[in-house]
Parts: sequence; C-alpha cells; structure tokens
Amino acid sequence: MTFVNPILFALGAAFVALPIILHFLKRKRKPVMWGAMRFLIEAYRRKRRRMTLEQLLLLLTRCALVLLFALAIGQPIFGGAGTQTGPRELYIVLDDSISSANRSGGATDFDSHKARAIALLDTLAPEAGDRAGLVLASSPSRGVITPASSDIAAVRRAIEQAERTDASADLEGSFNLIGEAIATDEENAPAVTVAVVSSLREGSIDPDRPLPRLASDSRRVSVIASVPATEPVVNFAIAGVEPLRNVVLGEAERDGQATVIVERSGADIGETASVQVSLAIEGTNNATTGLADFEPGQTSAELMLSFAMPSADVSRTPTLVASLPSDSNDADNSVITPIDRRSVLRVGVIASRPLVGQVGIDRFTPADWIRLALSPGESTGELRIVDTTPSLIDAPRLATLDAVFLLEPDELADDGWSMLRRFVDRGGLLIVTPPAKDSVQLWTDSMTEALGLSWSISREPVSIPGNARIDTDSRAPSDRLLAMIAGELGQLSSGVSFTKLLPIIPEQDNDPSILRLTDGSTLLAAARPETVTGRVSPGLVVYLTSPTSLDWTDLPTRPLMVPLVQELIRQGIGLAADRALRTAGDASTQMPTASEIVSSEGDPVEAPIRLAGRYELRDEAGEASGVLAVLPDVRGSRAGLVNQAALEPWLAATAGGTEQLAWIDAEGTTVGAASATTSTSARGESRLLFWLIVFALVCAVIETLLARWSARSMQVHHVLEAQA
Amino acid sequence: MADTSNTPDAARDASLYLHPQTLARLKSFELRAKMIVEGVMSGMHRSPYQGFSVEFAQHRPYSPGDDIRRLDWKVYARTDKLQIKQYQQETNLDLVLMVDNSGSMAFGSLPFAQASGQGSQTGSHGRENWTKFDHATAMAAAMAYITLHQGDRVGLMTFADEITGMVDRSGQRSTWRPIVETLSTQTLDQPTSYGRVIDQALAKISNRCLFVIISDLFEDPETIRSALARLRHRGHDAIIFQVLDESEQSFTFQESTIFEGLEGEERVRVNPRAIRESYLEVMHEHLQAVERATLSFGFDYQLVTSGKWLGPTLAQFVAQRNAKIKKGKSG
Repeated sequence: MTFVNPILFALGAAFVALPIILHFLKRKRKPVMWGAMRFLIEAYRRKRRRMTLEQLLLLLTRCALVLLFALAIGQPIFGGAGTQTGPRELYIVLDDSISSANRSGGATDFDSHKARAIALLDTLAPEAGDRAGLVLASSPSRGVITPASSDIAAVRRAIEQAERTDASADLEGSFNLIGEAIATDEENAPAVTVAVVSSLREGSIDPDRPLPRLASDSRRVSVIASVPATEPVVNFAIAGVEPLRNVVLGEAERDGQATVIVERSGADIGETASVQVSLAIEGTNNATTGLADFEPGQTSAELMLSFAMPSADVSRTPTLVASLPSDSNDADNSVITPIDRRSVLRVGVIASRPLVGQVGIDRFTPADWIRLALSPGESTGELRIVDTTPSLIDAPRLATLDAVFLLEPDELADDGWSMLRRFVDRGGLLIVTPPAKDSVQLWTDSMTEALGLSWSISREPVSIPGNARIDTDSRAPSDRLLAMIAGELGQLSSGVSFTKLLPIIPEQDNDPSILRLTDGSTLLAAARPETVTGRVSPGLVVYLTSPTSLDWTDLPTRPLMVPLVQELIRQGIGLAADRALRTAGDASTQMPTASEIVSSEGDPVEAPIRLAGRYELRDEAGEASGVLAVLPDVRGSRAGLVNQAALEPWLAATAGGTEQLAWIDAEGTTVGAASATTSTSARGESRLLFWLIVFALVCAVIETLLARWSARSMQVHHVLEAQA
Repeated sequence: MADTSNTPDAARDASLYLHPQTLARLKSFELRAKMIVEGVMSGMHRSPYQGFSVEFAQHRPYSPGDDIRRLDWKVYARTDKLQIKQYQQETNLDLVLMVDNSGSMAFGSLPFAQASGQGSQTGSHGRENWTKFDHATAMAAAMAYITLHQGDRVGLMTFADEITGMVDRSGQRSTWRPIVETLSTQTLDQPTSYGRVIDQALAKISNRCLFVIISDLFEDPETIRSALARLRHRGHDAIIFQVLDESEQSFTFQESTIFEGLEGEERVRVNPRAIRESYLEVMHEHLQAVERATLSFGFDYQLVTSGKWLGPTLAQFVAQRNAKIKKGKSG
C-alpha cells in the first residue's frame, strides 16, 4: 500500500497517539473527599473488568476513527503496490502523433491525452520522492524529460506545452528511450510505471514490432495504457500527390497532371465510398476536383487530376495542394507537393572523343547516337549536352550536371566511380550502358560496389539467339520512368531487336528490371543506391543492358530511340532529383542540402521535421534556395480500431507479464492487475475516499454509542432517589 | 430571642430556622442550636403531644448511685427503708443520643456559600460544606431539647471507632448546654466501629433506654446487625437515623475523578458515569440491609438527607418516641 499523500497520512497517523495519550493521561485534578468510599470501591470492583473492556473498545474505536481519517487524507493505493515501497518513477508516453488529431466531440484526442497525463502526475507525491518522466511518442520519439525528474511541475509544464505533430507514433522508440533512462544496476531501484497515454488506434501501434523489455532483475516495471479507442470513425487521407512530370522544363504557363492517392481507414471499409478531392497550385484559384471512389474493402484509390501551372513570373516554385473535406482527422486532409521548375537540363555524355573522319552513320559511336537522341532536331536550349571523357571527369564538372550518360564505364578509374557515387547521392541521374565490346568486362564489380547496388552485372556479354525484342508487357507496374510513353511503347518498340546484352544478375526478391526482352532478360533496370547504413540515396542509377551500338542492337535507328532517351533524361531527372519532399517525422531520409530550413513563419527548424507543411530552404548566404514540403504521415492517422485483447501481450511483454499491465478507461479509472502501481483514476480514488469516509462515520457512530453506553447510568433508574 | 412563638405566623417563621440553609448562616454552634430550639419550640406548640404529667408515680428501693435528693425521707422515717420517689416521667425511656463523628460524617455537598448567601463561607469547623455531621448535630441538639422539655433524661455519646464524647443522662434542662458543647467540639477523622462503640455504651448504661443513633451507618450491615442485636438483648429500644448526603444518594459526578476516603481509604480514580449504576446498586443494597436489620429488631429506621429541612425528621422523632413511651406503659 502506498499513499498519494504519504506525509499527510503520517501526520494523521501520528494523531492516533492522541486518544491513547488522553486515555492514559492522569489529569491532575483535586481529589474529591468522599464519605461513601466503601460503596465506591465495591462498585468499582464489580465494574472494573467491564469498564476496562468498554474503555478499551472506546479507545480502539477512537484510534480507528483517527486512523481512518489519516487514511482518507493520505489517499492509499492498494494492490500490487503493496510490495512497492519508497518513491515511484512514472514515465508518461504521450501520444502526440497525427493519430491524436482525431476529433471526438469538440476536443481532439490530444487534448484528452494531455489532461489524462496531468491527472497521472497528480497521483504522484514529490515530497515522497516520486519522480516523473515524459516521452513524446511521435516519430522519432523524444525523451523530453528523461531520466525521470523530481520536478513534477516541470513535467506538468512540458505536457501543457506539448504540441501535436503530423508524424506517426513510435512506441517502440519511446520504450527504447525509457529503457535507456531506467537502465541501472542498483538494487532496490524504484519501481517504474510506464503510462501509455494514447488512443491506440491502428495508426498508433504496430504489434508486429515487439516492444523492448524494460523489466529487469533490478527494476520492476508495470505498464498502464489507455484503453484503445472504441468509437468507430472514418478517416480519409491524402497519401500522396505525384505530378506526371516532377521536373518541368521551361518558364511558360502550362497544364499539368498529377495523380492523387487517397487512403481510407476506420469504420465502413467494407462499403463503397467516395470522397471529393481538389487539386490546385498553391496561391491560385484554379482548383480542379474529382471523386476518389472506393470499392468495398478497398483502402487506397488514385485519381488523376489536371492543374494549371502558372508561368515562372507568377510562381518560381509552384506547389501543388491536394485537399479533402473535413473528417474525423483533419491533419491528413491536405498535402502539398512542390514542382521542380527548371529552365534547362544539363546532361553529360561521358565517352571517348570521336576520331576525326568518322562521319558515316555506320561509324556512329554509342555517344553519337545518344547525342542525336538528346538533340533530335532544332535545339530549344532546354537540354544542354556536356561532353567529357572518362578520364577527365571531376567533381566540379559533375556538380554542374543534372544527368550523366556513362557510355564507356570500362574506361573509368576507381575515383571516377566515387565521384559518380557522390553525384548520385546529390540527386543526380546516372545512366550506364556497357561498352560495345565482346571481351570480359571488369568494370561491373566496381560499378555495383561503388554505387551500392543490390544487383550485379555479368562480366561477359551474352549473345541472344534469334534476336530478342522488347516485351512491352514486362514493364513494371510501379515504373514511372517510362510512364509518359507507356501508352505508345508497344508501337514504338516494334521492330527493335537486340543481339547481345551484358545482363544483370538480380538478387532474389529484388529485381530492378523495368523493361525486359522477349527472352526474359532485362533490358532496362533502375535503382537508388544504398549506403552501408541502409540509407537510400535520392539519386537514380539506370542501367541499359545494351549499348546504343548497331553491333548489339538496332535501337539507335528505331523510332523508340529518341523518346526513350528523352524520357530517361526528363523523367529520370525528375525521379532522381531530390524533390524536397519529406514525410513528417521520417528520420531515415536525409534532409535536402541547405544551410537552413525555416518554417512558413520564418522560424528555423531542425530535422527531423514533425509538422507537415511548406518550409523554405536557404543557402549559406541566407537566400531562398528551394522549397521543402513535409507531408503528414498517413500511416499514423489510420483510424481503425484495435482489439484490447490483441494489444495485451504486446504491451505486457515489455513489463514481463500481464500481471504488470493495467488499463485506463475513458473515465480515468485504472483496471487491471497493475492498476495500483499508480492510481491514475480520480474516480477510483474518490471511491476509496468515499468508503474511508463511510468507515470513519461508522466508527464515529460506534464511538458515540460506546461513550453513551459507558455513561448509560445517567439515564437508568434512580433507585435511591425514587426511594427517597 | 423574640417572643414570636405565640402567633401562628411567628411559629411558621421560627420553624424555618430548622432549615439547614438558615442554620448554616450561624457560624456559632450554640447560636445555631438555639435557633434549632426556637424552631422546635414553635413546632411543639402545634404538636398533638404537647404537655405530659410529672406527677408522682411510685417508690422503688434505693440503689447506690441514685440521686439522694430524690430519697423519700417521709417513707424512711415511717418504715426505715430508703425509697426513691419515682415520678410519671421516669416511667418514660431515657434518651441516649449517639451521634456519629467518624470521618465519613465530614462529607457534605451543600456549600455553605450557597446556603448562607452573603453570610459565612465556612462552617464552625472551617469546613465549606454543610456536612452530615452538621445535620446530625442539629438533629441531636433539637431532640435533646425536646426530650429535656418533656422532663425526660437525656444523655449523649459521640462516637467513631470508640466513644469520643459523652454527657451523662440527666433530666435537668441545663444538661442541654453540655450536650451542645460536646457536639460542637468533636473532630471528624476516625473510622467507625459500631460493635466496639455499642459495647462501650452498654457498659455505661444499666437501665432500659431509648437509643437514638444518628449516623451514616457506613459499616458492614452484619456488624450493624450484631450491634443492634446486643442493644435489643439488653432490652433497649432504638431509633436509627441514617444520615446521607444528597450526592451520596445520586452520585451525579460527570468527569473522571479521584475520590479519596475520609476515613483513610485509598484513592481511587473512576469514571463516575461508568460506575454510577453499580454504585447506586451497592448503595441500595446497603440501605436495604441496614433497614432490614433495624426493623428486624423492632427498631425504627429513618433515612435522612442532609441539607433538607429538619422539621419532618424531628416530628417523626417525637411521634416515634411517644409511641415507644406508650408502648412501655402498656407493657
């Protein structure tokens, strides 16, 4: 048993001594000189045992009365805490994720969470050494006050000042933070209670990711968690906006199209539904609307909406805004996506310089075909070709390029690969074709290693018997590289044949192929390099398994050549370029290169950014260098309900068993085996208080009756008086 | 003393002197006794027993110790025998007043201050309350006066664990003064021993007497019974006045109190409210036992509450004494 106010209890309990002292106190009274002493002594002798018993009962009743009063003001907590002595440590995991933006009635869940967290704090007794810590659960979780502090008021202020984010909840990370905070080798370390204050909807939890175990031999840990929300709500969220062209060339006004992805969660997923989606360039009034239709069971829907992009004079960095009508969670109803507007694309072609006199079409090198495809007609000035040789590439030159065609990788030195890797990591597009040589290729290992590709390239070219053609049906559904020519791809690729390839050797379950030939071999593969730490580079590596050489294929002479090269460049640069689009709370992706990121209010912000919205990138001179859009993490706003029973083992595992798990219901009452480790419920305490007061009143009545019983002779027969 | 006894109003006023609240104002015991007498006399005029014969009744042989002034010299001259003249009153019973002056008689709950108003704050012994002994002495003085004025002989014994004061029986009215003096000079600090006292009294009295015992009788009932038995055995008659204070009969204390005995008993701290019922029960049993013992020997018994008007008590005494005289004559 512990007490909410142990000092008050101690003070009250000390008063138990009062009736005892009074009972034994020999008051200094002047004795009464009494004549009929013999009768008094005889009466005393007769009544002594009974009087002693009555006085003892009276004393016990009075002591009990004082003790009950002390208990009432001390507010005891019974149960599991009976084995817990000393100060307590309470860590509050406050769900400030996008899930807590769910609105029920007038207030958001986050408001309720804060109130409940403060109510939990109120159960602590700082004077008894209790301490509290605060972890905000939105990804990446933050230990606002860890380890636990005895300054409960500071924790309360931190809770009051906490603001909801648009990131998803990261309970695993939160428990890891607490685990680090409570790690100790001390014996008899205070028992720890972790209070998860969350609505625990589908978006807040991930039962597939086990929570770390916090309980240890030196620490007893109990978990109390909010009872999962039971109110069914429907939530629509915009999961993304994908313009068909991420990079727009030119400064003129033009129309564009974008795919809006809408997700739904919560109740009524089994029924058809439609939701209106509007799309517009931020700051313009030309919004287009459409309906995203959901079939029964369908949780994600896409619709294509057009938009009118103003000229560069109106908006240098146009931003698409997709929005939904208000629903249970408004935090995920609006998404912005910046569009990369560029006046020119600089494409480097890395190949040996052609010898003088090679002018016939039959003498065209692969680089010649590429240049021809890049500038098929009169130059508009939007694509600029920068020729260089493998031996001459350097970092400054690469820094000026948006894309690079590496046509002779076998000529590249090792440091050349390193420079290309850095180029890709900055968001560059690298397109590699093998040299048109039949000999063993020794560069492939260097490439895959330098670029961190998960697949490898064969060292020897492969001849294709019977000339293989392009299998247009093999195009990957998720491919966006060839999305703009996907409709015409079949027609354009007819007649294109390949006699040799330097194929890739994909790893199982990680096939980077975008387009294949009829013999099943990969023609085009693309991937983003990965670092050793698992971080994904923003740039893109495209590998064409056949060089644009007539010795290997007739592609350069076919109509497909120009649109293929153009799309690879235009769309590839759009996909490769760092779109300055991030998800709130996503710490796994590097922030765009910028000296400073400032919010729309002009306040500098630090990564990771947890609030969705538009941010400005600034360079070292403090000038605006771009726009960063942070999207709400719609995974965290999923409104589906979670079964409490399913959560129980997940949460209990961290404390070492279900007996250490309790739940806080909507009224704040704590129920469960570990409910007593923290008395979180004002109602529960008030119930106990009520019964203590009732017992005290009963004691008071008993005391009165006993006192009257002891003095009953005042009311009984007056024998002698009657006789007189 | 003003002669107001001839008028009914004066008599009524004088009878008020028998009230302790009046008597308490008089610090001098003698003055108080005179006040009692005044009250008694006023009551006597209204008494149906007023007037009695002092005529010659008979002769009896002289015995050593008899007053030689009462020898009938005429008979001696005629018969050469010493004969003592006996008058009517001598056929009445001699009155022996036995007043208890043991320590317990010093208890009283009626404050002098309350009784005396602007008068004296303490009694003749310096005590602040009207004690049982004050009441007893008032009664005894009045009874002696009545008896002397009826021509009977009166003697006095005060006693505690032994006889502490004595006035021999005498029929002279002047005997009242030594009685009053003896009553007013007693100390109240000894325990009681009825057996011993009665034995001492019987040793001093040979003829049949009427004993009036005025005491709280705080003694074992069996001891009292044994003492009374010896009185009866010697042919004496007795009237027992048991004097108790009001608070001794009601025990109305409230707070936890230390009680200390007046006869050297140990101190006891008790909660009066808790013990009251039992106390009253013990007291009741004792009173009943005393009354039963008294009545069993044909003696009269009366419970007297100190602090109350003496009139009824004295009237009762007169009635009971005359009844016994009649009984003696007829017997």
